[in-house]
Amino acid sequence: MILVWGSVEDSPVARVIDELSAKAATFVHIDDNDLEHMSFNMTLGSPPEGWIEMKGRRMNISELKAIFLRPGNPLTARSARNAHVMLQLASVLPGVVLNRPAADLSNHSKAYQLDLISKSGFAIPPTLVTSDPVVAKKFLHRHNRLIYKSLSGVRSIIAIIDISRQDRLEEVRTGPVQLQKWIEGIDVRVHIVGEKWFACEIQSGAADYRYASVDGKAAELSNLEISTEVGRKIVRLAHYLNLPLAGVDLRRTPDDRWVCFEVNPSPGFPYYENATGQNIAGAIADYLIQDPL
Amino acid sequence: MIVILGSQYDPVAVGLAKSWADAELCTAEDLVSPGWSWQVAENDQPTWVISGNTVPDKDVTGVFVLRSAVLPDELATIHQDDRVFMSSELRAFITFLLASTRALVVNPIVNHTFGEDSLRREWWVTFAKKADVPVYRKRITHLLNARPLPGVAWKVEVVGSETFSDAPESICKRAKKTAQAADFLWGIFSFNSRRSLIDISTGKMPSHEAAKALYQILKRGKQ
Repeated sequence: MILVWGSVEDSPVARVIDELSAKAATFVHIDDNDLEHMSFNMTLGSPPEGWIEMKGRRMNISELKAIFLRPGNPLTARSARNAHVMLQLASVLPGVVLNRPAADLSNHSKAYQLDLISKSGFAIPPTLVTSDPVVAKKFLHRHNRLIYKSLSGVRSIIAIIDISRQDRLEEVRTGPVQLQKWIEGIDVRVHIVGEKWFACEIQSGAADYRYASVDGKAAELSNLEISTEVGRKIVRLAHYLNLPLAGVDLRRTPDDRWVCFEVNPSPGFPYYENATGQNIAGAIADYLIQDPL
Repeated sequence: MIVILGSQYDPVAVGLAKSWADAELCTAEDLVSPGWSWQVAENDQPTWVISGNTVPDKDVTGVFVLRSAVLPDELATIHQDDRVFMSSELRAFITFLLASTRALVVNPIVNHTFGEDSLRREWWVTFAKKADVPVYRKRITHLLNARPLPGVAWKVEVVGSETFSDAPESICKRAKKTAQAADFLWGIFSFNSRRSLIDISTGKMPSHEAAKALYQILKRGKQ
């Protein structure tokens, strides 16, 4: 049995459900409303034991072979408590979990994750975390153009700082803030599902293509063939972070270097599927269906 | 210098900063003060802000972590509208800081998080299994009248390779093995009368003997 947890209003969840249905997989879908009515009796050992009952069906935990989770924000205390229990179960369940809750946490600190990316052998942009305006200005003068982005997982629009705006760096006193060298090149998003990769090139004049329309600019996405060497390197990176499902953000520089910015553990892949025709949801469904033993 | 990463409102943190020689408390106010400088994956000269002063990382031998987050209410110098955001930013910063410092960290980052948050039951049961230590199988149900944990027969404090307890040697060994499997340098391990591990905590004041041992390993730093 495969468990899909998330709202059908969330397009990645809807896509995975469609693919599992098309492949006649045995699965059950729950959302935050279902958590309100969930009952369970289990021990969270290694392995976990017991049962959970959802949508009128009682299931032995040993029946659960895989979980795909994109939980939302529970609205009641009861559903929040039950969501917490489900996250605990997702942490210890043997088999396939996309993704383990612990692995998600690396993305909650961008600088920390960037350090891990560097340790895995990928080039990263020079990055400074500081609350010292003098140090920040020296960093700007060394690199001429910087990106400011938030340190935490709280989504934010990035800002560009160049020499003409260096006075803004006085504001870092109440920091610490994250400053990164602007890297010239083409944005590439690579989705990893197990050993497979799906690469997409994004052409945009905006500093952050996700918000290109805010800047009055367009973002054009297209399928990209990458070499096996680069593909495998990105797969190794995702596995190093224990993320069999990941959306990896890179930039390919004019001198053909690959610089990695971030590994997203809950990628919003439909945006890229729509533009390229890539079937990432199909790959996810296949990964969930596989027999882990 | 030993850095105690904690709150000025936490009597444990304040008490240790007073009783340990060459130890200073790094508070929420320090975290949002000018003077921090850390580059990612670079062999540079990073700096802390501790008790209002800028301190090079090379002068810090040990960091004792006594928080899992920075609460918005601690950020009195930050505009009220920005406190929740800054609280998230500081949690992210502390994760990066603890992973990057050359000082010995007690306890280090586990599963990309720190403090009591790194002691989630669903994680430490796997560490205990790795150490071949039996764990009390706590039953959880949807019913709100949850069964309480069994009585604690023994508590063992582990500090590095030492244990502090009147428990039998075999229990102390189990605590030490679990700590090593989890990369914990300090913790209080509770066992029931069947010698199964019930709980692990770092939320209490170390005992006098454990505090002395903690001081020594934090002073010595990384070997």
